[in-house]
Amino acid sequence: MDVSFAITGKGYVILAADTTAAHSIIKVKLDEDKIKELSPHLLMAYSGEPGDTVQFAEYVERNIRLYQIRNLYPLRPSSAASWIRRSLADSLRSRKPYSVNLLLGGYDTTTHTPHLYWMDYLGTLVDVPFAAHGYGSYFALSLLDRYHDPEAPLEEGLAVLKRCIDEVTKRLVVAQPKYKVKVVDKDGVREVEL
Amino acid sequence: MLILVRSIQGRTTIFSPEGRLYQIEYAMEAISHAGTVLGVLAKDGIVLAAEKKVTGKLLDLSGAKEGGYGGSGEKIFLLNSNVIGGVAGITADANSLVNYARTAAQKHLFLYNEDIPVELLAQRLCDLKQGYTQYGGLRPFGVSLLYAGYDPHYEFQLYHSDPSGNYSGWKATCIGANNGTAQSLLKQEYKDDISIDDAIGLVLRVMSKTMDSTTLGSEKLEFATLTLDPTTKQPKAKVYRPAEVDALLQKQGLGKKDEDTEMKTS
Repeated sequence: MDVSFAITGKGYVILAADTTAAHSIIKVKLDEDKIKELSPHLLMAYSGEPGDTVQFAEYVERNIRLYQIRNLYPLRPSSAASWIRRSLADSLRSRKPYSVNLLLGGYDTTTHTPHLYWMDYLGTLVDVPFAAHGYGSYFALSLLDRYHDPEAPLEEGLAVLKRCIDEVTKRLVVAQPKYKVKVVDKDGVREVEL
Repeated sequence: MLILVRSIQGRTTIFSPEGRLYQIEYAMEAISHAGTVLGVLAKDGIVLAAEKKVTGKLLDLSGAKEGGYGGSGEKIFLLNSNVIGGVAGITADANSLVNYARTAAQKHLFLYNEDIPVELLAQRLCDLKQGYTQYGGLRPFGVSLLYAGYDPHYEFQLYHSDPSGNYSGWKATCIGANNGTAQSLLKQEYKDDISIDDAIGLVLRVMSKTMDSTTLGSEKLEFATLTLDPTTKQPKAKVYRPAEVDALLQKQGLGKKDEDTEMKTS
C-alpha cells in the first residue's frame, strides 16, 4: 500500500512518499510523514510492516544523530547507507527481523554529489539514479526509465516526479491522493509542494 | 605517613593528595627515554620519522626488506590504508595498542564501509587509554602515539595522544627522547604552507640533530609518508623499507659518505 519514489538530478535528490496510514480497510491518518530527516543532508523514506517501520526509522535517525553529535561532522550518505544496511542485515539474522524497506537520499558535502540508495528488509543496498518501493514501483520505474535525466534541474525533476504520481493515482486500485515531497541538496533539506 | 603515600601511589585509580595521577606521570617519564618520533604536516601530505633503539648486527631484519604492506616496524606502523602511526614508549604496550587501533579501523570499515576518520581513530585509542587510568586497577599504557592520516572531511591531519588518554592536533610535533629540542627546532623552521618535499627535508634535518648517532642510516631510522594519489584521490601510505630509507638519505645528502664504508670493509 505504501508508495514511495525518489529521483536524483543535478545536485539534488527528490524523495516522495504517500501520506496515508491505514489499518485494514480504514485510512486512519491522511497526512502521515513517512520521510525522516536523518541529518542536515540526508533523507530517508520508509515503508513496510506498520510498527516496524517507525521503530526502525527512529532507531536509525537517533543513531545517525548520535554519530553526528559525538563526532564533529555527520556521516556521508554512502557511509550512513552502509551502516543502515548492516543494521538490516543483522536484523534479518535475528529472531524477528524488521520488515522495512527504505529509500535513502543524501547530498555528500565532501564530493558535492547527490546520492540515492534503494534498500530492502533483506539488507540489499544499491546506489541508483532513481528508485521506488511498493505497488507504485510497477508504474514509476518504466516512466523513469523513459523520462529520467540525471542532469535535469530541480523543476524538471519535479515534473518527472509528478508524472509518476499522476500515473499511480490514475491506474492503481488503492491509489493515494496526497504525497509528501522533500528535496535534499547542498543547502540541506526542505519540503516542496508539487 | 610515607608508607600511606606509597600505598596510595600503587593504585592507578587513586589521586595523590596534591590532586595528581602519579602512574600517568611515571608512564610519561618512561616515554621520555624512548626513541624519538617526529611528525610534520605539509599541505600535500604528512611525514613521520623515528629513531630505532633496538639495533645491532645480530638483529634479523630480513623480514623488513619485503614486508606485506610495509606495515610493521619497531616504531612506525600502518594502522589503516589512510593512517600511519608512530609509537614511543614501552614496545610491548605499543604493539598491543597498534593491534587495537587496526581492529578499531576495520570495525569502522565493517559498519560504515569507509576509512575511519583520523580523529575518530585517535579518540578510540584515547578512550581505551583513559579507561586504564580509571577502571580495573591496571597500570596505564606506557605509550605516546603520533597519528598521521587523511580523510575527506579534514584532509591531512596529525594527532598526538599520551598515556592519560588526552589527544591534540598538531602541525608539527615530536615525542620520545629529546622532544623538547626537536620541538623548538620545528617551531623555528616550520611554515604553514610547507610542501611535502620540504617537510621531508625538515624532518631529516631535525632528526639528524636530535639523534644519538652522527650520521643517519636505515639501521637507526624509520621513515614514512602519507600523500594523496593525484588520479584516484585516495590516500597513499608509504612506510619506507630500509633500502628506500638509505636511498632517500642519499638524495637529501644526509646519507653515509663513501669513505665510511671503505674504512669498514678494509
